[in-house]
Amino acid sequence: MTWNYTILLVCLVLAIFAVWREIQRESKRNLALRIVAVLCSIGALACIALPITYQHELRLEDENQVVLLTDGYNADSVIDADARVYTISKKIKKDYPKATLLASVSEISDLKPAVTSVQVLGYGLSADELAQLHNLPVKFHPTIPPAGISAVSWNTQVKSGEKLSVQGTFANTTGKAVKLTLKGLGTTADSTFIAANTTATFDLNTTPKHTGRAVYRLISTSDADTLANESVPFEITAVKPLKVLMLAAAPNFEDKFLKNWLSANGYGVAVRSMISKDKFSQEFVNVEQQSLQHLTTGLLDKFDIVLSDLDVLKNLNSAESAALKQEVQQKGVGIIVRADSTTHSNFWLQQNFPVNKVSSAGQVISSLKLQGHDGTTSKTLLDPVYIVAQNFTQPLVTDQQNHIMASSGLIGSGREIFTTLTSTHSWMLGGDEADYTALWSLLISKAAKHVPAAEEWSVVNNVASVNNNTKLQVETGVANPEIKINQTNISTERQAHLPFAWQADYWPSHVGWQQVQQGSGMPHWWFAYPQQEWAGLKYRALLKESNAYATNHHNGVSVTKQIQQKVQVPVSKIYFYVLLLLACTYLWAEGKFSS
Amino acid sequence: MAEQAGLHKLKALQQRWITYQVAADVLLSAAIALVLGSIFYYVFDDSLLWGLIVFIGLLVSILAIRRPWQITEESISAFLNQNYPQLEESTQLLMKPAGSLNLLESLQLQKVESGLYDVPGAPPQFYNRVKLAGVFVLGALVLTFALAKLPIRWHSSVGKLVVDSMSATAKNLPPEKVLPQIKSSKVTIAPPAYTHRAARSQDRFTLDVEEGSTINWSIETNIDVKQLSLIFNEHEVLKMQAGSDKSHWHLSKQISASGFYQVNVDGKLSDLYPVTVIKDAAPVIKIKTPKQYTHIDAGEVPKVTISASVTDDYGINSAIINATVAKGSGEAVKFKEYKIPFGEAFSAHGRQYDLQKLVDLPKLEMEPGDELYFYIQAQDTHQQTSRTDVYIVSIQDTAQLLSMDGLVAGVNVKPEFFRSERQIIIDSQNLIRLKDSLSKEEFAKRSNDLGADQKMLRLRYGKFLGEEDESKIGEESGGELSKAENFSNTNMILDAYTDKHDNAEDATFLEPAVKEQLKATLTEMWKAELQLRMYKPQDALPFEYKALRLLKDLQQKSRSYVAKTGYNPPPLKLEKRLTGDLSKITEPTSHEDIKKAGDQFETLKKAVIILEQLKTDPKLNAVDQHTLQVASAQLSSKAVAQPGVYLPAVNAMKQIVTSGKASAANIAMVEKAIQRALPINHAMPQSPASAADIGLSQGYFKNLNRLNK
Repeated sequence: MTWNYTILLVCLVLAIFAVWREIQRESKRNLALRIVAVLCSIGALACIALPITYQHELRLEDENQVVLLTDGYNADSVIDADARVYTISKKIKKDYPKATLLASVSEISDLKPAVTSVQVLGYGLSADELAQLHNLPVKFHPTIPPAGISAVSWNTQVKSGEKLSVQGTFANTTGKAVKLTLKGLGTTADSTFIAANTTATFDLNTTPKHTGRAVYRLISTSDADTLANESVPFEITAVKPLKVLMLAAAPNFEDKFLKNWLSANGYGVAVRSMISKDKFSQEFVNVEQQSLQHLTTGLLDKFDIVLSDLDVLKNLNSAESAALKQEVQQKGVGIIVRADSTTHSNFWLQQNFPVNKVSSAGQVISSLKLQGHDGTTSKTLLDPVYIVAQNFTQPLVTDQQNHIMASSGLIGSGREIFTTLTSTHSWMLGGDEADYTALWSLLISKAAKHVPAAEEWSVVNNVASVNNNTKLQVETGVANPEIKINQTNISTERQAHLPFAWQADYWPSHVGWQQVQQGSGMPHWWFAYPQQEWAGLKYRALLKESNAYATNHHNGVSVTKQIQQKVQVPVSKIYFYVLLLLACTYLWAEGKFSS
Repeated sequence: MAEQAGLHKLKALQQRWITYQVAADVLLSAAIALVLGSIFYYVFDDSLLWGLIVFIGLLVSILAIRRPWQITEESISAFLNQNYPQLEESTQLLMKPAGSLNLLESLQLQKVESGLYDVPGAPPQFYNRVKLAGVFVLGALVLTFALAKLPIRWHSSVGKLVVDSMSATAKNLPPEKVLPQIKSSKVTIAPPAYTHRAARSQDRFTLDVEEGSTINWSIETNIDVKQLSLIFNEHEVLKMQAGSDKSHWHLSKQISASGFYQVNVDGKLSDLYPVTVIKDAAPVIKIKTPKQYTHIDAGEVPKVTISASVTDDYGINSAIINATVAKGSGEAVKFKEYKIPFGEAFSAHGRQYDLQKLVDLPKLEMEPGDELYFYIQAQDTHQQTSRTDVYIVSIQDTAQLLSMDGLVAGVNVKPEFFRSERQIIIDSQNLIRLKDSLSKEEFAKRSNDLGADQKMLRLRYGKFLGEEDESKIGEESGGELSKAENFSNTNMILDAYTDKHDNAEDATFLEPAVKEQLKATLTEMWKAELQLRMYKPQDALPFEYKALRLLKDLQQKSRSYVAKTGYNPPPLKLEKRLTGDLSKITEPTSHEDIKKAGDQFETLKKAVIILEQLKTDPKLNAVDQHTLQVASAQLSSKAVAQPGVYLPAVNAMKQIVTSGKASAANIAMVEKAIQRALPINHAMPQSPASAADIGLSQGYFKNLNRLNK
């Protein structure tokens, strides 16, 4: 304020002095005009120095928008040259120096004069960053997502012997074919080609030979150029052996070979085979010895699977039969049944699996197709007895003509596998352990009793990058889970609609495996990707989140806010400069011509 | 005198031209001989003498064609006239006797004489061919040099040109890392005698040697060292002997197995160098003739030509036919063994031999019905032997074929025409015997008659196969058809003018296999008939025998025999069934615990986990270091067997373990080797996990069950 008064005072003194000098001059020509000119020039000088403003009323729509640049923006899209441009990325600040760098998105709401809406250019902001905008209206100008892998998925938990299967979609916009390679342990595991200018799905498979956590690489190359090199982290866990109970009408080779194979691999087997009327031979391998004379619920509870011939099950006494039925239907014990000579009956284990006997032919030689396996097995001798397909059953093993040889169905909470295969041990005799293993692994795994999981961890984010917000979810039966990530306690939030699901926010500080633990339970691991990896997926997620935010927060929504606002508008100085120039020109010209 | 000088000049020119022409021819043939000779020498490993022979042959033939000595003075003078205008087309005047020249000619001669002075002693045209030949020689030298350097060699055992890997790999391999103390090294490889290879030396430590080679290392160090030793497969330490001073060291060792070694200079260890042993392969024998089962029919010449090729990678020592003659049948069978040598001496120990031997079976005392079993055994220069399968040659027993045993027994009497083939054979033999006593026309007629008999027999068999009956072809069957009541009787017209090949009855008359054999029989009969019709009963005999044999086989096939079994079970007492006392039967119970066999690859799998961690966290604690050390030992034991595959990984692992730090390249190298060493994992049975949902789905299931009831 003192500045203004000083100016005014100085100008007043200057004006008095100048006027007095004008009057003092001998020639009195054009005196009035000269005084006016002098006063005008000094007035203009004062106005240049003084901040002169006027008040104006503004409508909100056309006022106080800011532009926020995010990754993938196009510089040509910033049309409004006067617009205030901000960014939170140092890289963008470098490329577009006019933009002002902000430390975080939350600073936008603190800007003066108050920002009324934000124009977001590029791939947009993450949900975490959008929350910091405090419901500011956003107009989103999305960029087309980058080419490359647009979706990908793989089994992050692989059981030993299982396939790691990396599947996804690749958009190839180049004129050259792109090679996708899955690499692990310094070896190329699988690869495929995506033709030029196509969007195609890919499916890369490998059976890892090692155990533990590993990071494979998914590399896309075009000729010699590497387009992307992404991490594929997964964990291979050992298989926990099961316990199998076999009931046989008589000692036979099929059961003997199965028992030997299972026990050699550390599985628990108990065999009860009838050797005479009411006389049983009992064998126990890797399980505690107990009487198998009478089947009770307590006995059956100790096994995951019961394997038997159909006629044995039909001839069980009523108490045993009831115990078995209850265990299968209520407790989920699996049951594998070998067909007998009857084609169909209403017996509870046979009613879903009628059998068709091709009586004319003797045994046939054929190879088998197993569910989930690409190739066929080696040839074996088969009885021409085929299961007729029914609703609510799932064929597991078929022959070359798609006759069903093994099928599965639900019985209560348990599963039943019905099979007509009776001489699979011929594979073992022929030294073909691979096919034998594949078949019985499939049948037993399908039937086995589910084990209750203590907890289940998952990363909610699409891609959990280092230094970015990551949402973890744990499903557990524990009432108040205590979560530790990398030995640090993290608070959790219970999901309203799923009472057993808890979520936690975390910002990983280093790339790689992160340990997570509930209480004093088993530690689990999840992977934080380097910042630049899986960019295509991340940008797609940003686009989705920003679009969702923009549709929920556009201008029309916030009607409750004040529409008009009074603002001080500074008067442009150019007018005073012109006035000063005119006055001075007149004074100079007048002095020149009068003399 | 002036004329004399001109004539001398002319003669000198002629001599010079002849000399240059001969020189050019010599150079040209030398160039061609050089190229051919070097091809023989370098590629085919033949003697250099071939080059000399080619040279002489070429030179003689070129000289014979071109005949440079026939260049006369006339042609020289013509040449001079053409090329030197100052001689004014008059050079030939020089050759005229001085007295026979007229005035004008002698004037002209003087001009020529003076002109001849300007003609150079050797005009440039003389050189042209020599120059060209010289260029050819240069080109040939370059080609020879290239051939000597190229690794292309002819391998007669393979029968084609191959790129010699031994010399090629040595050049293409990356340089080895050698300890700085070592100034120079010389490794002399003396291949064993059986290879017939000369000793060679190299300056690399990496060894590719023949099995049983003696290796001699001589290492020169740039400073005196106390001790220099070679460590084989990480445990066998061989100290090197010092030479005159402490900077020259040498050692000899015979290598018989692959592996690796390293040089130890005063405790400083070098890289690991692989030793790959090339094993000697056993000789390969291929029998071209005869076939595995050869049957000599009666009437054929009882001789067998055994031809075989024997190849080996270094040289063949010997090859022999082991033959066994089996005489008689049943219990009276007798064997006699023969060793039949091939004509070849094998003194050259060549790599490939094409052997042939004509075996006269009667000389081995073989008679009809006898069988010859033989195989070929070959031995290479490394005393390794290999032998072929057993081949069988049998001579048909005509006596058994012609016997009536099966037929008079009356088990399954076939129609009479089965005897006809036998009759034809007897008649043929009879006819051959009577050949000398019969007139030519009579012989031809009887042979033709036999042919007719053969035809009849063939046609009768043909009926079984549904073949057409020739006798009816051309016969007018119009008798019935032309009757008025049969007019437009379609069935009858069709009957008369169509063939009924696919008669259902015919099709099922005989089994396919029998039909096949019958057809073969008919073919033999055809051939026999052909020979008989050409009045050659001798040539017809083999076909007749073959037909008879096939017919006999057919006859035997249709027989069947069921042996009588003589067991009559005692009658069951029904009241006693299922009433046995089982109380004393004990129930067997067995219990055992089979621990899963310890996984021998456990350490390698653990090493993978550690290596994966090292990628992000380059710190190695003591426990991990120990695990890696154990894994490294496992890898090196693999490297002993396959140094080419696992040795780089062992090196990389050593670097990781000793330095405690791991470069990405080293990790990748080790992981690759482990991936190779680990066996394939098979999926084992497993139980799926249910969701940790505080019994939510269980409750849902229970309520669903309740509702369904």
